[in-house]
Amino acid sequence: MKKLFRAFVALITLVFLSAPSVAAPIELHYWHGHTGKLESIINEIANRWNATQDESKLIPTSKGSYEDILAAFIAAYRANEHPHMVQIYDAGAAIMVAQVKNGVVYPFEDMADEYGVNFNKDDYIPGIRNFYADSDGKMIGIPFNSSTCLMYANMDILKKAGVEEVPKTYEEFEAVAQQIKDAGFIPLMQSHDPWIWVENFFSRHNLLMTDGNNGYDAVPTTTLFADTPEFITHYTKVKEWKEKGWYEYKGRAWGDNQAPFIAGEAAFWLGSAASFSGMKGVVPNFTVNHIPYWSSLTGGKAYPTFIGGAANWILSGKSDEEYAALMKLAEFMTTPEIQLFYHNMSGYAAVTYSATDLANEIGFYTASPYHKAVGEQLSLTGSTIPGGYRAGNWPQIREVIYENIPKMLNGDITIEQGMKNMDKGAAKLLAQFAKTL
Amino acid sequence: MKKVQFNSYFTQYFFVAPQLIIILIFLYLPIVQTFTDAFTIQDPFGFGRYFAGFDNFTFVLSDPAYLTALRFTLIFIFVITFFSCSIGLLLAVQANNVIHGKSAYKTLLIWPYAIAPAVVGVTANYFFSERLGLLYSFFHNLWGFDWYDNVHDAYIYVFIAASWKQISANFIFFLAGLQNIQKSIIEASVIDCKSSFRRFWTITFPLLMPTTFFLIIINITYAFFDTLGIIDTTTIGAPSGETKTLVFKAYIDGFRGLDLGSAGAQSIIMMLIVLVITVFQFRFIEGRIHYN
Amino acid sequence: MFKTTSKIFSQFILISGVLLMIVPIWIIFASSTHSNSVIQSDGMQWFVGDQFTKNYDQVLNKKGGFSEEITATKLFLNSFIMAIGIATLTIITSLMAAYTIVYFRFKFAVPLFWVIFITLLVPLELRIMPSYQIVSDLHLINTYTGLILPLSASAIATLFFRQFYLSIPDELLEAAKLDGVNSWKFFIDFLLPLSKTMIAAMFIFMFVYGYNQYLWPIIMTTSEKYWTVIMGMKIIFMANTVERFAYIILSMMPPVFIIIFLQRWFIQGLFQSK
Repeated sequence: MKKLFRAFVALITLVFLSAPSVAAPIELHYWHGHTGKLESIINEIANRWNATQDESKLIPTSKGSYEDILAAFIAAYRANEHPHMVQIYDAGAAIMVAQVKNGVVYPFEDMADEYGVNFNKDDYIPGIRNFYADSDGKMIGIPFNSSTCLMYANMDILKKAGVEEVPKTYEEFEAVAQQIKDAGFIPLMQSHDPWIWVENFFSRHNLLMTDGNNGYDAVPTTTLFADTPEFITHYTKVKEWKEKGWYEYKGRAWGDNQAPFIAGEAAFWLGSAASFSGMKGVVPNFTVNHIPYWSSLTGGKAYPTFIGGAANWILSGKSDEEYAALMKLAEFMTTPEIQLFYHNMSGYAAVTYSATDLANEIGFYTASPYHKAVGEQLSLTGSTIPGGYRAGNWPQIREVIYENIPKMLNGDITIEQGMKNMDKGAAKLLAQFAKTL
Repeated sequence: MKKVQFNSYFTQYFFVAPQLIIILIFLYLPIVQTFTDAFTIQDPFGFGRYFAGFDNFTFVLSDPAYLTALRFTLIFIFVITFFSCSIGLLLAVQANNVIHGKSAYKTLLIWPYAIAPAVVGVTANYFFSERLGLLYSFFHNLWGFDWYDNVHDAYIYVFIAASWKQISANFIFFLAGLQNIQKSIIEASVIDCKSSFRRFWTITFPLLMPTTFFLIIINITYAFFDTLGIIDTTTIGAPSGETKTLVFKAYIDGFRGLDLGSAGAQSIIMMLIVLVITVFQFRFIEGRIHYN
Repeated sequence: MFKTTSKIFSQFILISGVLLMIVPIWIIFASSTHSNSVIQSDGMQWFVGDQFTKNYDQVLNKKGGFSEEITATKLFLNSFIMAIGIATLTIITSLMAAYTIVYFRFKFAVPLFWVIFITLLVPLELRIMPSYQIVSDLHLINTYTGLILPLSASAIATLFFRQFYLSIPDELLEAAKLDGVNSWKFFIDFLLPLSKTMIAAMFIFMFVYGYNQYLWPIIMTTSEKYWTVIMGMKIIFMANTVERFAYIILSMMPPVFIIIFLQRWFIQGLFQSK
């Protein structure tokens, strides 16, 4: 009996000693600002990553919205409870880049130099890469969901109104707007004045928006709204359109301005590349097109717009092990296959050439023409302005814009006065930001 | 002060400790921090901090958006107080007057008090939405109401939502106040004055002064602070930031704009306003009203 | 005859008032019992439809939200935990603090009273960011403790109980002391039973106060697992309009029911606290 027992103990010990010790995977925490479908896409990417390897585990958490995530992240950082990677949007880029020198943000390119295996900087499409780079071109944030503003067109309405082609320029739009209105539809809606008709007006027309070369050469002190005649012309025209009933304004909420398009009441809607995922299957017959521009103001040339959306930023204070794992994750997320998956599901642009090459190879754009526009518009060449803007307190500057646009369109104040107000408000906010640098 | 009391040394500290600790950590510490923030310039992360004297205050007070919010808040407080008070009073007088169904009416008019401002706001949102809003179409047909665009229409929108909720609070207190007025006074006044209308204004209403002043303070507090839930779910300050209350603006500037200095300065200014109102309430009102 | 006209006039005014309060809520309720397509095509409804069970069941049980794991029931659970937590903690701490102020020869009674009273001047809305910062530093973001604790420092309840204690005849304590009762026993065996109605009134009042919180949960909870019903109002993830209507109706029910059925106590709490 005793012998049997001893043999049993020996056997058990052997089994335990020979069993491989399983190290718990490194947990990589990622905070993002997406909800609904876009969130489930991120979860899917995380699942795929976790399935292909067991060294690390990606744990994404939604923080609600881009605005919420910034405040939550800052508080968490102060309590040293921040994640490894956080998604911060375009308007927050200046804040994040400024935090490099304070040691909060760990520049992506530095991490790639240290831990990278398959990192190829030139594969990243320059327009996208530069928005989240510093003034020396060093990549700080990892471009992730890059959208741009695009024009959605309801082809059924155009047919009913007898409009043959989707307008490429605002002049062409004006030529067909009355027809559309007479057919009983709203010609034009748009969902985000600051992003679509301010920031991307300047980009689309190759104009500088702030001094200091859009903040890339020097900290900006003022915006150039009142000093840019083209911009004044644009809003003068928008006001005219509103009076003629060619353009309707439904307040500042994105959804309120998108609703008429979804309900089949509006012919054209200016929205984001990412709006595609919510539109498919809801609006019957729509196309995704480049956003218009004033050909008389650009001499007929179409310039690329800025990317919108957000980037993923790596945060400091973690261990070597974690960064090595994080780099591998970053490389995974930028493989053409994963990018194509994300591009397809969400409508956001592919950020590397190898991804777009792959797409072309497999005839992706023929099968799904919706996705073509975003990449095309972002890859236009010939602009002489930087690929973005680097201005602090930009979310509040957007508030100032929101406060003045309705008054300008209403006639409560003149366009000139509105422009001056916006410049004044922006200058104050930029000065506040400069004080903290 | 009680004549008879305990003297135990440790027990008394023990009993007062829990509340004191909570108050010190979660009330006073934030207040101190608010003061620090108000006099400091810093970036959202707390870097680049330096003492800025009154800079934040000048920044805030010279901001046209702040003055707009100040103006709106004052108008807002006045309108809400006026409408909620008068309708509440009207209903209370009638409820006090009837015999049949008095308690039923009381129950039926009290319950909106329990609805959270945020819920009231979301509900109002549906009534004023362009697609489904019954009130939107009603007003739109009358004069082309469009709160997305027109600031006065937006005013009407938030005034209606905020006043609606507060009517029942005024009703409860006025009713109690009316019921406290001794029957003998009412009966005596019936003999002196036939017109119930005149009776009300010359006798009843003056007797309601304590309640009225009390309610004015309650309404001011409500309109000043509690309506944040309503603004955030209805106009969110639109159009053009003209329906932002002071509290709402401080919240947005601090939490979204991440400007702690500006939010702190705005909070201090509001604390001063509350202080002034409280002092006014104690000195002039409570001092003058001496009944019973 | 003159009197009857005025009575009829009063009834008329009162009925109008009741309608003013009820009709908006009724419309939302009635609309919530229809299918979404009816609402989209015909607008808000005045009469009840046939989708009551379906819609309300969906709202309570549909897994939505970001992680696809949150149901509206969880939101209600969170709201209840928060409201009950706030009410309970407030009452306990206030009963104790008021006891010290009234029944002890407390050296700092007067300054203490003012310290507590001054907090009434500075509501949460005036110290949003720093409160958030402190809670964050204490690692209390996204916790029930963080939702409950900061809102439980209520000067209102303390002053309320103080008033009440002051109104209790001194003879009670004299008699107790003669019996050799110490301060603990007095509190537990004598004072608390006497305060039962006051406690109930305050509990109900604080419950409604806690349940209806909007701003604090919004800034405090970044994880949807801790969302409350009221703050969820803004971000409710119900896909269609009728479900949102049902959510609105459900969310207002707990406090409204309390006010209607526990009216007496609620009003007592309301009056004493003001």
